Amino acid sequence: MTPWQKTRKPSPELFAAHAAGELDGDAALAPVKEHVERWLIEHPEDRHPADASRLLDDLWKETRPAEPGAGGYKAILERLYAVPVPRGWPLWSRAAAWLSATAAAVWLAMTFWPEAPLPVADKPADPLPGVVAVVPFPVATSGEIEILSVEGSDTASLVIGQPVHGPIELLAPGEVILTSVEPAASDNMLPRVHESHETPLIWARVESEP
Amino acid sequence: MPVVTVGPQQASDEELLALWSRGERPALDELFGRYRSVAYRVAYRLLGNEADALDAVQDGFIKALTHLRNFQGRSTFKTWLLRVVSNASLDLGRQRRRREAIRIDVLVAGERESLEPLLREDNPGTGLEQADFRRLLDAALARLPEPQRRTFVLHAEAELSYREVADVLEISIGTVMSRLYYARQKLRAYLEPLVHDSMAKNS
Repeated sequence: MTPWQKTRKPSPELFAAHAAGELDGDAALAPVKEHVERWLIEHPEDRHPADASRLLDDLWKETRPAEPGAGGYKAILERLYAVPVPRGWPLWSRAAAWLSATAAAVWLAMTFWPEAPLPVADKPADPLPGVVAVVPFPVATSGEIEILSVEGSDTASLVIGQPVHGPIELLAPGEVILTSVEPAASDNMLPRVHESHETPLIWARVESEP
Repeated sequence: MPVVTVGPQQASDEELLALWSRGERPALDELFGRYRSVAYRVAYRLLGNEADALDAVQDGFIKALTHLRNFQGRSTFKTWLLRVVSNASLDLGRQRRRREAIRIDVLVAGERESLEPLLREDNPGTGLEQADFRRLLDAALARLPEPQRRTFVLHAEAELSYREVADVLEISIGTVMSRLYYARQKLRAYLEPLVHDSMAKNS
């Protein structure tokens, strides 16, 4: 945790997770748990009420679905007997896992390996004989696309918004201070925050900045 | 391929899958027996009735087995299966528009009034019977955005830890905490007044 986080009040989500015992037994969450507990010693008024979740928990247990009739599972199992085994599995899956790991390593190496500066050409090189040069063209304008939903796993890779124009700078993480994170007004969800201490940030300078 | 020296009951999930790939039915029986119940409960919570839940369990298991090549051991078979089953449940729910039907019946204007018939007085303890509780919870769950509903069901019904839910949904633990927190808040805000009012009437 960064120094500013250690002095900051934990979020309600963290208080609730602590009260539910969900910060226990996970080494990665140990600093967070320690921070919450230290905060609660100094600010006992923030302690999550013990019975806050009781009604919901009781209702949930009370309505646990009963097992289906005996024929239900049997019919499914009969169908499963007819499912063909995927060809080449499990050797295929291991090879695929190895290949994907290798491909990821190669991609990372190619992406982050320091490159020699490219020679500056006075004019674009002529295409190779027999190869037609393709001019990039816009596929769609922003008004023609409507994003209905974004899976959580894609939020780190999908840039949503207007394309960045103008000069782009790379900043080290230490050059940016995150002062607050607020839930989105539309759905009350907190945005994902990457707290890497190594990954640089891409910063698009706006016109009003010096 | 793993060498199995124990019976199906003691074998790991991966060993059972390997046995099944060699045509051994008892391995499939054991694997299905291990996870059918939790898969069914998750599907039931997401769909609200036995028939649809069984369809989702069947779809989920079939997809899990036919797409085994996508399971590369980076998660447990259980979390991977629950991911497939919950996907199948949500797909089925969208197709059958169950949630919309519940909203029309229960949640459109005058939600509170339309729920009053559910708060029956034939139970001296709370005025509610189990079937009524379930309908209340169904209606309350239907109000949640799909990501929150799925996260909450996986955590509360399948008893997955935050990390396991994060693996299933491929989201961060922070997002799991956030979704659970807001899901609980919304469910409580919706359910508590209804239940407390009913208990007060009967006390």
